[in-house]
Amino acid sequence: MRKALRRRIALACACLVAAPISSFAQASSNTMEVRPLAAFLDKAATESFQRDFANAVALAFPVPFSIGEPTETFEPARFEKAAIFLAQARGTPQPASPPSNASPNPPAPSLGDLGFPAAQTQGNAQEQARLDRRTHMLKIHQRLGLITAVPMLATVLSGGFAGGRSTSSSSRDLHAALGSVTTGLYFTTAYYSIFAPRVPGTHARGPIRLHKTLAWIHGPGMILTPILGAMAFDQKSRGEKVHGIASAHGAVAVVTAGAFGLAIASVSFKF
Amino acid sequence: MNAKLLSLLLLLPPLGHAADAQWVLQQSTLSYHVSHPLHQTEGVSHAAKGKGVCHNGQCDFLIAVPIKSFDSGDSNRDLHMLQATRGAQFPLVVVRTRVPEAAFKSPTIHADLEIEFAGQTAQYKQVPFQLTIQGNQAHLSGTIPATLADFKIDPPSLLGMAVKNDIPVRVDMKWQAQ
Repeated sequence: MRKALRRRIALACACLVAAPISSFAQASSNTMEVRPLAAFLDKAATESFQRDFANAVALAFPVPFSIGEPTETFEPARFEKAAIFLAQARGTPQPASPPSNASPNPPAPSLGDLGFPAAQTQGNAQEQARLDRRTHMLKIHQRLGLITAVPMLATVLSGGFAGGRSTSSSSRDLHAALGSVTTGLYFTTAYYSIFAPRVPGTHARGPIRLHKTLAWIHGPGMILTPILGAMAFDQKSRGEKVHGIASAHGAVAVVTAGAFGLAIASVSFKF
Repeated sequence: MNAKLLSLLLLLPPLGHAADAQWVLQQSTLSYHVSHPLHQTEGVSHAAKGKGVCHNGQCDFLIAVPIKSFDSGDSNRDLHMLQATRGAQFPLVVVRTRVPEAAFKSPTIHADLEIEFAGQTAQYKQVPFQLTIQGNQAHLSGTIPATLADFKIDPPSLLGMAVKNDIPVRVDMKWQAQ
């Protein structure tokens, strides 16, 4: 009875001890070698411990111990094999590099340790595609806006020669043609801004707010100006003096061009 | 004797995995600077999170910050930045470094940084940081000499002029020892 109890204790100790011991098992030049904590154990203690351990393992695991020749005395090779077997049975990968006397490092911190919500750490290809499309459209908006500014300025300047008594029809035609080009470019520019994908949850902040606010001035202005211009053109072509609401064409055009220029400046320069 | 040995061996595994010290990022201000012929822009974030684990005289630090959290004061510019840096696909900037614990005694730390950003990883060697330790708190500040090219980011342009390649990132952090 006592013998059986001692065997059980020996078995339990063997299993517990096998955990740290097994991590010292390594492959080296086709032979398996165990470094039995020799750094801090004296030789006698080591041998004594190994003998006891081997005996305990032999009692607990008779089959694996038949790997070597069955002998009654302790052999280091059998001790090594037992340790390796226990390591494999536990599913513990054997270290590829020689173990050092230093204890293993705790794991380096991982992203999971930082506590970010999953939504903040996972990439979203769809969202990226939306941003790419938005940027692409706004780049076109930016280019076309700058291009539009050229005929717009030319239209305003040519307007000075299109009105009054001493104007020829050719200067009016030129002014009308420039105005038409400006209008076409302007609405194409606006299209790329209006239909650029919106990013949910974002609110306009900074200079872009002024840029967008100014659109409420030059947008209606760019609808009104050509209409008033056409009316003025007709009146002038009939030999009449420009009158009525058409007489506001010049003022509306100047305000529209001014708002448009300011809109460009608002996102181009830092105020 | 054998009993003592067994006791010692049984104690070894838990001791082997114990960290000597841990650091947690308490407060941070990270700001990138972008230069354009017509603009000087700063984007600031206070949303970084970080952790440091020290063992055997070496400390492993991990700091991460969502790209979305950088605020330049212009929502349009921030969205462009997010697009240019592929921030929806790679939402975090992750910085890893290993610093010897002994370096904490010096007022200046030279750290080798590994930065993951925009789907690319770049290494910055010996980046100097100023360090002040008061009790359990450490205040760290410095500038990471990042560039757009390091992360294969096409320089955004305005009015046909591209921004400069250099985007230095100013770091100001308060760490708390646990």
